[in-house]
Amino acid sequence: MIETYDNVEFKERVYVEFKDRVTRYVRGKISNEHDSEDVVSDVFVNVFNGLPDFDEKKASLSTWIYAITRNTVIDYFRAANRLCELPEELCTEDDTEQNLINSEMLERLASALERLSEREGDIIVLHYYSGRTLKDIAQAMDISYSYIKLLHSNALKALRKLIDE
Amino acid sequence: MKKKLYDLFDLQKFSGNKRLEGIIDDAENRYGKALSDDDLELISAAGEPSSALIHAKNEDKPR
Repeated sequence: MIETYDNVEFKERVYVEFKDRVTRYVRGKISNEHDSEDVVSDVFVNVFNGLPDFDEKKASLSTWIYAITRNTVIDYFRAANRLCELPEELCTEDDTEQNLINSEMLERLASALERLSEREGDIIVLHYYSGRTLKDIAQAMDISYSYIKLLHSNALKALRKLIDE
Repeated sequence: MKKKLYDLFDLQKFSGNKRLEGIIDDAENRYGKALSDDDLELISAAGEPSSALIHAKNEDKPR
């Protein structure tokens, strides 16, 4: 029997399960509360409209909803003609790499970070997750800017090897 | 690689992988967490934290 996702019960489950995650993500990107509420509504409209085409063989439900959420946020910045305000992590000229990102890769990233030195791992987390500049992190770590650039470069090289191996 | 890291950490903000969350918490605890927009709203124009922020931070402290 072919399972269908386009029914009211499933939509309700999706809404209950993902509402908080979608809201938290959107609020992290769009500071205007009113706009972020509108975008959250748009995300669920897009999710529900797309459910008939959802194929769990191609992506998990979570990864699929994340992709829709991300694209809806990008559309918001495009429509508002605010591309210059688009957060760096959403700036992409080519979505090919984005399509390959999935939840399993987070496990691979965690393993790779655990194999770096503590300081190198911290630099990667604080820069790419927390959004802090290398200058700011160097100050917090009490090391020079040139040294942190070296550590950052070494960490990137090691991660490339560990994640892609 | 930089783009991939931005993408993976962006997905982390949505998915909340527990193992990665632990690594992130450790790093942020070691070097201080950047204030969120909500925290910033609780800081007065003079740069002093308001009593609401102090109260909220005290509630976060371990007993």
